Amino acid sequence: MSLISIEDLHVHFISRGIDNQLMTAKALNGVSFSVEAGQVMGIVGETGAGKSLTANSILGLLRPPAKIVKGRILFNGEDLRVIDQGSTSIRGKLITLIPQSPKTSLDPTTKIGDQLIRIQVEHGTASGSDAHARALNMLEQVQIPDPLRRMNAWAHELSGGMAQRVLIAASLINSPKLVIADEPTTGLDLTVQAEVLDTLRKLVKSSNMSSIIITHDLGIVAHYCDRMAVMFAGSVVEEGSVVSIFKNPLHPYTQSLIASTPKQIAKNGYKRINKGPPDLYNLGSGCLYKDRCHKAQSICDTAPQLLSLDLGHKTLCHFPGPSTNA
Amino acid sequence: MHNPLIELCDLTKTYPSAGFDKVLAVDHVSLKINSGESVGLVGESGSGKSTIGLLISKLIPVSSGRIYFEGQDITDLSEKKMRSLRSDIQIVFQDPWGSINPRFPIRRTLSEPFILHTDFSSSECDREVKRLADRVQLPQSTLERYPHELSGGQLQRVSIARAIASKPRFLIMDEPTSSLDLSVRAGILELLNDIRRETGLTLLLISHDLDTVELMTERLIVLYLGRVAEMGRTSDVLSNPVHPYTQTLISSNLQPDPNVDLKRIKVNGEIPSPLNAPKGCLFGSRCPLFKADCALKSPPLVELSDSVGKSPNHLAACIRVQDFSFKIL
Amino acid sequence: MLTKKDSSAIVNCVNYSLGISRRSPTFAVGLLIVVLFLMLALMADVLSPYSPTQSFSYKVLNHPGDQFLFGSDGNGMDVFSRVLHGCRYAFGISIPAGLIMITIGVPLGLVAGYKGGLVDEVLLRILDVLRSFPTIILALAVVAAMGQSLTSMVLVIGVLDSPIFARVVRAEVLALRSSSFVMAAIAMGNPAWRIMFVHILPNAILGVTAQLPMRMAWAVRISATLAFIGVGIQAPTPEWGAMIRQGAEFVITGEWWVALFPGIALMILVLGFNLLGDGLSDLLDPRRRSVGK
Repeated sequence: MSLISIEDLHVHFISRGIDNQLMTAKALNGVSFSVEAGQVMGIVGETGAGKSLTANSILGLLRPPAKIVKGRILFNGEDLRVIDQGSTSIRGKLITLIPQSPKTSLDPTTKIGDQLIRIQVEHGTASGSDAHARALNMLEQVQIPDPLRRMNAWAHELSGGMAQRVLIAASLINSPKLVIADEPTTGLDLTVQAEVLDTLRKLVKSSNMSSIIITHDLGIVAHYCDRMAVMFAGSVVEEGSVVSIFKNPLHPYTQSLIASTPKQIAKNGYKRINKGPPDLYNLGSGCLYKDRCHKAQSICDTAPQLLSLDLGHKTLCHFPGPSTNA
Repeated sequence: MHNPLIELCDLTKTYPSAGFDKVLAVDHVSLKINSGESVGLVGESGSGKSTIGLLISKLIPVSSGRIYFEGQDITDLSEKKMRSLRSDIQIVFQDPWGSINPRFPIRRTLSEPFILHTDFSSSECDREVKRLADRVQLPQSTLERYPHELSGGQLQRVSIARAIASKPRFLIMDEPTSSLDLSVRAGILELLNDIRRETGLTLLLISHDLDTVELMTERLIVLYLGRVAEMGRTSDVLSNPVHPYTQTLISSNLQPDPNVDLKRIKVNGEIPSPLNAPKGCLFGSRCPLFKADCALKSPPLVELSDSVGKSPNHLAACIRVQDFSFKIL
Repeated sequence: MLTKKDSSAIVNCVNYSLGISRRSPTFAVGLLIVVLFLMLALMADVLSPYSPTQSFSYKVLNHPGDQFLFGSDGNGMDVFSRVLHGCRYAFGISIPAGLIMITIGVPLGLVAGYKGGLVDEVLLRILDVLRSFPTIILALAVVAAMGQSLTSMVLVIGVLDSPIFARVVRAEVLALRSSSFVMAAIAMGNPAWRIMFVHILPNAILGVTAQLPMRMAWAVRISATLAFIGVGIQAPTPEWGAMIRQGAEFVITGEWWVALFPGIALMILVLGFNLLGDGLSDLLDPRRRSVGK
């Protein structure tokens, strides 16, 4: 049984516009993927694909006007949707989040050490001097120099890279089963980014945790993830092992993403993609990628089936396979 | 020998900070950009790359040093005199939503260069605006829209269109694709390439992304904490980096290909705060090759010998080059 | 019969009204009140049973009843008609005063905010001085110099409240000055005046729009206050403040209606303006713009 399994998740944003008309943004349209224990899954996609929203759904952080209208989120067999979202037994303990923007995600009015202690006390994992010792240990593990002194530091005294390490420490201190990292390296310098990701990977692998890394950077996925899921307009258009997908991308969107990296452009020239992001308020029926797809035909007006290549490499497309225009 | 189009001599920009300290955002940078060239300026946070862009376009005042445009000293030029030169030097900013007036429809934004620099009638203006939209592949319907109705990619095209409207000789692009989605970036880079080929304009591309500069530029300048660490032909610098910082930077670049073996160079700590800059070589505090004499004085930017540089005009500011102990991997 | 185009236009209107009311009920209520009073002001002649200055010498201080809806005052004039006509004065003062406030305050704030330096410092000091002056004393001085009239009232109020606009605009300009589109405008070759008035002003004006109704509320109140203390408009002009002044004497002797009705009208209109301004700043708040992703 997978550690976590998302099944056909649909999330809509329902609100009224200024003209009093009901507007529905279909933000997630049948997201399905699973992560095994000890695996690192990368979720790639562009703005509006629904990556952060998926993470928020797993963590139970959806607020109106967002609503789960269909689908299940199974964690160790239990459906997360029926669990009381106010409880602290899952979120923050078994499933934790490393948020974006490290400098603004830390409490500015509490010292770093106290925040790490607080997290343990809240979830009942440790208390008192035990919690203190574990907090110190965690800071050492994320390679914060001079950890004892840093326990008394304030959030604003830390650089971006350090703040991100503290957030990693905070997310791992309760020994969760699943860590979700939402764009963990945004705003970090190139040299710092690699270090932070190395630290995360080392800690996750050493305790057989699972991890979901949300990013738009294919380089990060290529080197730090075992499997990847490519999202477009709120659905997973391709899922598989990183090696398999990079070697043989099946979905036209995945192919265009890979072809858009500067290295590929240098090799193969520019591939023109002119359309903007999909309008979530006005999604058509059938394949959601058909407006941008060079392979689109009339059959694409019906929803594509999930087709498998092998070894868990799946894609949602009527015409998966190598690109027809070289 | 023609004058370089742009020349910076010992350009320095300091910002006052708390107390009597000063932050050296740009530290005695000298470089030349020739007409028709495409030059890349790379660095991480604190490198001063964006500041140099703002200095060259005279959007912020210079602290010391000189800027020459076509041989003319423009450092202390009054705003009034500078205005006539502004049609020749243009800049495109990183954030398309922030750099276009949100209350103007696109047509109005694109008309402005003509209103300011030409005496076209309004119908001539309209015609030019339409032509500009076509040039950057913007559908004519976007002209009546407002910035918040356009996507990032479309807005960046507007930004570029606005910049090339006055037919500038020199275009500065400050991280033109960093805030855009992956699939949109390629289109913008392709557009820039087209424009360069067509007009022969000189391009300064400021970026933190090594792959982008590799694709788009002929010459590369690597900055660290306001100083030039290395410069030379882009292909040379990226395939044969000499300065330890450049080597580190290149090794940290994650290739989107799982089969590429990453040989990461680990350095100590993070980029020091400019207020706390080390003595001598600024990279000294983190450099795996650091020796005592590195901290004595700031290493000069010297041309590399054939055995090291492997091509002319490849310069680096590192004294370990002399004793050939500069290669880390 | 309504044509199809008409009925869809009406449906559209209704939908937008509901939509806006949902976003900001405060705005909807405030707008309703202000528009209602505006209608009353415009139709005062039609709606008043009597002329506001027509005095019935034998019907002085009559209870509200059949003949006088709100009763009659100490001069035998119909309170109802006078309250209705008072609406005209309320708007007649607050609208021009508002215009003066904007005409003085906005350009000052714009220039001070953009230029900075000495110009800014000087302006700030002037604004400080203006603010520390007790309004009433200043009003008295101006009226003494110019004579008691509508014009002097409007001028005093307009000038006294312009610092607020200057401040609001200056704050917006300071924030906008370092944004990239201003940098881009400079890089484009715009002279300073174009940057201030063509580029920055349309963006800075939003803060002002929300302030305006609130300052107009204040204008109505202060003119009533001034009339109450004997400065500005006096009886028999049907201005609410003057009416309250007259009515104050009669409250003790039990003729409550003379002061109460103009007082209530004043209160409701001021409330309406304040709600309108509040609601407007809610609606225009850019943070509320994005829904969903």
